[in-house]
Amino acid sequence: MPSPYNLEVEYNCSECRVRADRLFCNMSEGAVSVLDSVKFTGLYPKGSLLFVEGEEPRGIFILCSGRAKLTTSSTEGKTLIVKIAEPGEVLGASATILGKPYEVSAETIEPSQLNFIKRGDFMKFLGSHAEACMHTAQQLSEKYHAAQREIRSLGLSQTTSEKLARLLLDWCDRGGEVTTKGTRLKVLLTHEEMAQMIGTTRETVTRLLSEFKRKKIIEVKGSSMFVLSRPQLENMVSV
Amino acid sequence: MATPVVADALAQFERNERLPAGRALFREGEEAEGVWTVRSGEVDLVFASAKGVARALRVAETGQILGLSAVISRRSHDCSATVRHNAELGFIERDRFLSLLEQQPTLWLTVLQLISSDINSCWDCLRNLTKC
Repeated sequence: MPSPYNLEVEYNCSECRVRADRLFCNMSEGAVSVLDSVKFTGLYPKGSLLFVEGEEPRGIFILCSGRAKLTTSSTEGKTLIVKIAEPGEVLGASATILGKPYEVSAETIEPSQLNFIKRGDFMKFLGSHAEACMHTAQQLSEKYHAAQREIRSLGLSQTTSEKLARLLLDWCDRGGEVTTKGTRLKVLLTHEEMAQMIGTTRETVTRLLSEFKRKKIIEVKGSSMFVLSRPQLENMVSV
Repeated sequence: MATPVVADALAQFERNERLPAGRALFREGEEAEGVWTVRSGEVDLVFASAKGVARALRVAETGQILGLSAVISRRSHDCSATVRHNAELGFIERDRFLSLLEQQPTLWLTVLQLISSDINSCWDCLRNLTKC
């Protein structure tokens, strides 16, 4: 029987084939069997809201497959995407650990499998498994470094074209596929979402991408974007 | 920011230092030698571009711990830290800190709370950056 959303679903963490590659999930058999006993597996379509900024923490979500965007809102109501979460990441951990409202919202941008663990169960799990604490700390540290990288990117850019150039360069460095034509990026974000990643408007992103295309810096084919001239993007980064 | 209760959990293991304004605690790209707790005063977190231009984009205040995630994830520092005003700080060397965690696993929960607070500070900073 085909699985919902064509996802390859793994209901049992102990039998997960990619567990060893995942920062949080790569724990001993004993810890994983406890995890298995407290987690709830859920399959979510694109656009599912997992938790909302300001909501009391209900627990954590382990992103087994798919991707999710983490967003926050400025006081003026502007939405900013602070991170695109990848498989293996734990979502909502900092709020759950601190017992304070979620600081960001999480929404799937692809059909995804997530394992949910209730706050009480997760805290009990951490309290009884030091290795789980260590893996969670490493996971949180990665999130912290990603946030610092975002601060650097937004804080050091002087113009919007510079911010967009930095975003594309960042994508090239993390997941770009080098081809004879240039670096191929699989772009699953809309112009609106790209705008939310660099704190600008959808119209500005559309205009700048057209300009980049006209200058033969990029080429777009379906959901693929080819960075034809990386040096030109690098030159746009002023500092 | 970390709550005083959280920051105090590490206080008994720290070496106290009073440092003048302008003194660097660590520099971007350096291996993390340990963790610093800001007991009083402020520390600028300075980010530099690939072309060497540096800007202070965040300020660490009383109760915040610096270098924690770099020690845990065994990464180099991703920014530089410079004392803004005369500050009192606590320092625990990396190996001492990691062996403390082995000896006292209950400290892990404190560490998790501290890194979680650091992440929240980053989200605050990002919210402020988009206002500009």
